[in-house]
Amino acid sequence: MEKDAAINRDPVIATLLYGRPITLFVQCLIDSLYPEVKDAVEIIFRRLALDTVCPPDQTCCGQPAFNAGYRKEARSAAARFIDIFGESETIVCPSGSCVNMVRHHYPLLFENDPIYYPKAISLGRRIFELTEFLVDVLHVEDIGAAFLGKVTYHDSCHLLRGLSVRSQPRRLIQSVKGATLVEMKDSDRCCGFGGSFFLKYPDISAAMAAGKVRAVIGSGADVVVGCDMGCLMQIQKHLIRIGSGIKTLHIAQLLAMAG
Amino acid sequence: MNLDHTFNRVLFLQKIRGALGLPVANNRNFRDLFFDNGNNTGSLLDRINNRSAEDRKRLLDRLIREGGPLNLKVIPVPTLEDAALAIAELARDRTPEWGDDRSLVAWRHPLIDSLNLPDRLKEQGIPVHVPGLGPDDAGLFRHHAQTALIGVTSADYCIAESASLVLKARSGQPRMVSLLPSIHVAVITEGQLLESLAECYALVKKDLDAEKEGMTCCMTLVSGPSKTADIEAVMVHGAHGPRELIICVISGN
Amino acid sequence: MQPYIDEARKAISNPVLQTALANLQDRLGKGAAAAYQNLPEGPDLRLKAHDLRMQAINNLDVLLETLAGQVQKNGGKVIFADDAAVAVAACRKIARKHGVRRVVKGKSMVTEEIGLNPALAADGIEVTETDLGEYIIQLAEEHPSHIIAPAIHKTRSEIGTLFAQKLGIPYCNDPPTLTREARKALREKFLAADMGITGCNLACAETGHIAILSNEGNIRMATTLPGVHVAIMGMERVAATLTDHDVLLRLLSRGAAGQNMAGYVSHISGPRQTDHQDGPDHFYLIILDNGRSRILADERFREILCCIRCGACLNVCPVYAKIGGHAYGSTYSGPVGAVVSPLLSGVGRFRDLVLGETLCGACKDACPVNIDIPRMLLELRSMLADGDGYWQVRRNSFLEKSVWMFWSWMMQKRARYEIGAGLMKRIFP
Repeated sequence: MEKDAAINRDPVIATLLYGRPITLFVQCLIDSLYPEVKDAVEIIFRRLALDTVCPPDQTCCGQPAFNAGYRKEARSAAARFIDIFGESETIVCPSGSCVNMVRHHYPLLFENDPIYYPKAISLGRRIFELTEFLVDVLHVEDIGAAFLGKVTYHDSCHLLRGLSVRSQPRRLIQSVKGATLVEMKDSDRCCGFGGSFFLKYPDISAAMAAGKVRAVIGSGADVVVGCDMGCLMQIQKHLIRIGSGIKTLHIAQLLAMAG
Repeated sequence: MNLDHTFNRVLFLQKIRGALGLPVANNRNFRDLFFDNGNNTGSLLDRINNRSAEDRKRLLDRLIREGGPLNLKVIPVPTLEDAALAIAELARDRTPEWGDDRSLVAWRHPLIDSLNLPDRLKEQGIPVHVPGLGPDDAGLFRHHAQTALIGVTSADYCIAESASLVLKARSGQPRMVSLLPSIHVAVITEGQLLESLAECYALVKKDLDAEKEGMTCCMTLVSGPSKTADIEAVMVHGAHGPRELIICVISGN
Repeated sequence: MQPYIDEARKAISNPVLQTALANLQDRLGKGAAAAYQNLPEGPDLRLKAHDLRMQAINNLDVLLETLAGQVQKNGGKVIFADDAAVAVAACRKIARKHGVRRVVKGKSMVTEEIGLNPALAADGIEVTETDLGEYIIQLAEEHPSHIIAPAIHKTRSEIGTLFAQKLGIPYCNDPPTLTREARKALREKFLAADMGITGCNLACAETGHIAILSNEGNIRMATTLPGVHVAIMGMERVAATLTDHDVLLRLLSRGAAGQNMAGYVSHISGPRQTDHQDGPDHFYLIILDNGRSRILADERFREILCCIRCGACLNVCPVYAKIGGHAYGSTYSGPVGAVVSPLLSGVGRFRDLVLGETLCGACKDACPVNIDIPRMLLELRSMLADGDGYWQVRRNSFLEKSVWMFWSWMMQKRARYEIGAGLMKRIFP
């Protein structure tokens, strides 16, 4: 937590001054299942008149293997990630858990590797979760989005507890024209996705999701917004299961909605 | 049979040193390693010694405030006489729990002695039992404590921050007086109020350093009446210990 | 493999338990968070406490030697027990030596861990649990399901029926009345007991005392009325100085129940002095290893020995909230149980505890000594994935390993990754 607050932002601002592009890392879940979220991120940066590039070779940060305990396999994906993004000056990713992986777990994976360890540390300082980048680095909260309705926000675990991002997405939502932020009960409680957890322990995962869905409905919101597609996928599935019409939206999708 | 086996101890500690990656023979000592962990004692003692009347009032207010949610009643009284009256009133009003007769047990303690409870309650027919100074009649006193309605003690200190009485075990001041009766009344003076547990421990440490009684064999903190929430989280007072706790603070005004 | 999943399923389909767990977390989980905010030093005291605990653990030999020396100086006896068998044998010996027939017990996880009650019962000794929750569990012949609220899974009417059966009182389902009945029944047990057995929340090396916390007063009874007091402590439960003890005790009370201080804290340093009118004549302190030194030797897991067993992590864990304590199948449940149980009793045996968590991190934020439980769960998972010689863990499954090796190969080229992505689209349309 303390480490995140101390991130040196100056190089980033400098980058922007020189007009160098922002490099996007697209979480594999978005890449394969929710390409509209990637489009939304690009719309946001276009609106902010910032160039983006998206390295065509990118795959996965290695988090699924790491969380399952397969460190060797995670390390090979992570090394590749470092090779691809190592030279990029600013990397933005629309997923808190991927950024948490790079920032906090890469140093652990490479602690005995004299070449990759410093690279991992340096990369951790240059990669940002989307809302963290918008609010803390660019100092923008209003990006001209509009949405008429009540919005509730789900705190993803790794974004909140790993990266200490709590207020940033809320400030962005509150700046959306027409949107009202309504808090759900225990917004910071895990939705039960947990990567492979929901496959291995479907009953427990479903029970946790049911609690989350009850909180969402209780908030009276029209949409649930979050910063991680894993959680949103889980919440959407369970909303549909109980026949609720409430939709989930990645925060990038909300922010990309034009007025 | 020797349970206190030195050989076991040596092996046990060697195993720990092995696990910590340290040499088998210990060459470190407690003082060197942890001396710094207790070095604020002096400043705490200064704070306690330089407490003004106003500070003490503030502590009393804090005690009352913290005691409220704990169901701990704090009664500030100007004099000993008022404290004695309050106890007499309780003895008259409350319903006995462990028998039909009303009786009290009390510590042998200068402050409690001066309440003159036995004489005061004699006319109401309420006996007050005070332990002897030896262990001889302990059995009889225990019987009295088992059936008593009220136990009256003083305390060594009272910590405002957590509303905790601090009771050390001494001859004439058995632990059961604050434990077995249905109601526990503690009478203390305002000067015994402390701000925090750290202050209490600083006083204990000073005592230990001076090779005085220190903590005694049993020092108890009591912060409110006995309670439980083990049945469907419903709060009930009087689980095993006293169902009521009242602290009379003699403010000396 | 199945018990965890089966027990979890049972708990999830029990609406009464679900409500009880939700209420427990709402009350205690949030209470602890609020209580940390109220600390005079602020919530960051948790970080300092973590350092104090690590310092203590890293010098455990010196602390235990100092503690033992002080306790002996105060007239107590100290027994170092390598494992459960030694600790149980020591208890039985003490009981025999003093002709003990009736034992009253304060709530203690460590006596559950070593299976003390059945061993004493086999010697013909009557053992009564005296914490109300534990008493209920003992009457019902079950196991506790929460560190500080052992009977959280039982309803008032179940308890009413149980008391009617076992205590021979008319049925009622009113918690105050039921508590009063237990108070009466247990008061008799306290008065008749020859020996009190308790755990130890935290010892202090500097003074040579142990601190035991309760709200009911049963600990005070068990350590005041019987002639013999035996306290059993896990060897890691020691603070160096009174100053450290102050910090840890305040955090323990807050973490456990959101209290500034537990209702009763007994600081016990030995048997009564000869001129005292009450207190035990004999005091024994049993210091237990039982697998802890093995944890101590592994720097990846040494941190879990900082745990002071407050139960705060249970009160915020979203998995515990659904499955309750019994699914863990071990003395220690919840997030701390998911780390401690495998390390004490077999990583392979308790693999579901390691894998059946979402790594959400709520436990770390709730911990009064800021233990990084998710980090250790990840370490345990990596043991299961690839095996571990020191802990004698065999690879979980070669098939799973092959799948991840294949996954890793897929991730090495964008073209392969896209085939995987296409597959994902088929599975999750």
